Amino acid sequence: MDWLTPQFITSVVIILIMVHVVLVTVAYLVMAERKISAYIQDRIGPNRVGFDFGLPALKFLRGALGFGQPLADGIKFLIKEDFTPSRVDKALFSLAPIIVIAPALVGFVIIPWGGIWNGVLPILGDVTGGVAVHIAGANVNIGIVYLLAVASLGVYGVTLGGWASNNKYSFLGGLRCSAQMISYEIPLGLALLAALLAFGTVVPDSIIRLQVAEGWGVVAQPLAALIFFIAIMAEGNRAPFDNAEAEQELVGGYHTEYSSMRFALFFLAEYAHIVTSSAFLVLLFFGGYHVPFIPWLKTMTSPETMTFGAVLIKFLVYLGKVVLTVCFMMVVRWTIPRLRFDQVMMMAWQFVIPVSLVLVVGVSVMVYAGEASTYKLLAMNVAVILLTVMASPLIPKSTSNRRLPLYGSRFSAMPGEAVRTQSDEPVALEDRPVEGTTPVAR
Amino acid sequence: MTRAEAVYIPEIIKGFGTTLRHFFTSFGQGRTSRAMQYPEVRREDLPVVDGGLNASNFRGVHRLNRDERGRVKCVACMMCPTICPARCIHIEAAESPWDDREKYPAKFEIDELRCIYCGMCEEACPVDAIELTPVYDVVGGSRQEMVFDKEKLLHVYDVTINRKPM
Repeated sequence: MDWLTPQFITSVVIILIMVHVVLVTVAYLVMAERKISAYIQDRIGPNRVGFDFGLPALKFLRGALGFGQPLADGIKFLIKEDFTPSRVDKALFSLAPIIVIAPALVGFVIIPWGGIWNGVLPILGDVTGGVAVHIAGANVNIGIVYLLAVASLGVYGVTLGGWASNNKYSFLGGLRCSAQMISYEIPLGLALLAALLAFGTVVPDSIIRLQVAEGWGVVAQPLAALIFFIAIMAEGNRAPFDNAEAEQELVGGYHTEYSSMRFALFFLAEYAHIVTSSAFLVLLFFGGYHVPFIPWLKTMTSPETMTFGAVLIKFLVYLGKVVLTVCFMMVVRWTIPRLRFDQVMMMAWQFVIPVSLVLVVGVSVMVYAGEASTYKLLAMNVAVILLTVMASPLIPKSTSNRRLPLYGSRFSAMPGEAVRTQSDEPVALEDRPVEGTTPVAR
Repeated sequence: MTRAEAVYIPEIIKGFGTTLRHFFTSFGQGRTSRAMQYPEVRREDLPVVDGGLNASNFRGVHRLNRDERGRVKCVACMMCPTICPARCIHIEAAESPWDDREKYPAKFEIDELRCIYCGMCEEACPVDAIELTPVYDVVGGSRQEMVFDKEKLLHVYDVTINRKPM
């Protein structure tokens, strides 16, 4: 029974709790998105469904805020027809949603939700025999690397879903998704590298300790945080990078052919992915469970306070930060219009990746020279931002994918370009009847 | 696009300002909220200038008007089924039991699901017998139920005459 340590039992309990917390959070984030988008568009959003199920006996549970909406959506997804179109690849078609949701859900295990707990419960007293345990699914030394590895696996499910559907739109969506995810994996990794070089560790709890001691990562490296934020939005297929499911072009993208619970799995995975990435962002750049400035909260959320109450508060703070990040992503979604696909790619390869490369080189040099204090890193980040702004006009512009003028269109003419309003092709100019018809006398 | 706009970041932050302003001013059906709590608040309750429903020209469910003696006003002239672009009006004419007209509709059926609510029947009617009412929230459990017969159309007249006088 060597393996049955207090840490093991804690980890199992935390995993069991967190799976449910995350799934409920995801369900309510879907509703939050609907509410936020509604308010942004001067609407109200879902506000009818309560938990009364139409029963007079449960009338007191009837909700004016619509909190029953996620449950109603879930029930709807479960009891709708699960349709498999003919001539799809049946095995892959069913496997794809599973491959999508699994990595989105296993990423949570290394997030240090509550720091370290000294094992003392309020009434029961010491339950772990004096051993301090980590409040995380798994306190592994390769934490960040594991998260990075697992988060990237989601692209397989999306690509397979697009491929297996035997549908052009789904296939295009899957292709776009894979191209986009592979492209944005690079700035994600580079921004992460810049942060990790400064921290000098990949253990999640040590990263938070360092941030508590030296200031949050976002203060030291705002540019790395920005690039990381852009990259996780692109990774999670969030607007403005949701080209893989662009309704106007691809119907529904890779999940066009999916219905019922298999569609819901894609949907849940998307949100679970966002929650994982946001937890990742909070861990690296926003101090994890730490709250500065407010004296009481500052002591309660410091890594040195290990009481049960402190663990609970840390957990709530962490979850609060994650939810705030996701809400910010929603505001971004309803503010910035979707980029065209070539713009998305151009942004990755011509802007984000070069900038993050410069950033990584800068951080590496500073760390090598032993000059990596918070304010020096901040100065370096600001310098890279200024360099980017100054250098961008000097870089030659690509001429590919420019707008082409159309015959007769006064809308798509390039500035300063003469517009041909008439075709000079002989076929178009010739006034002749369609073959097999007789011209009507006027 | 000026140089300052080409950096994008300030413009994006301005955009967040717009989005968040709308979020906070319309939060909880606030100042800028344009929504209406539908079954409780209805367009009929609002004055027309505030976006309310104009009962005199709204094209909702049909009704068959009654004359001053309570009889159906229709003379079964077949103008409305002739003009109807959706072909949803079916009339069976019969000899009138009253001596002020020759024909009257023994059967008068309108398929409310086929109808496109264009109001042509109302325009065509020479005796103002068929009219469209401001009633728009009509539901049925089956297609057959949505085929309104003469009794039902006369009933619509009885319940809407106060809201839309002839």
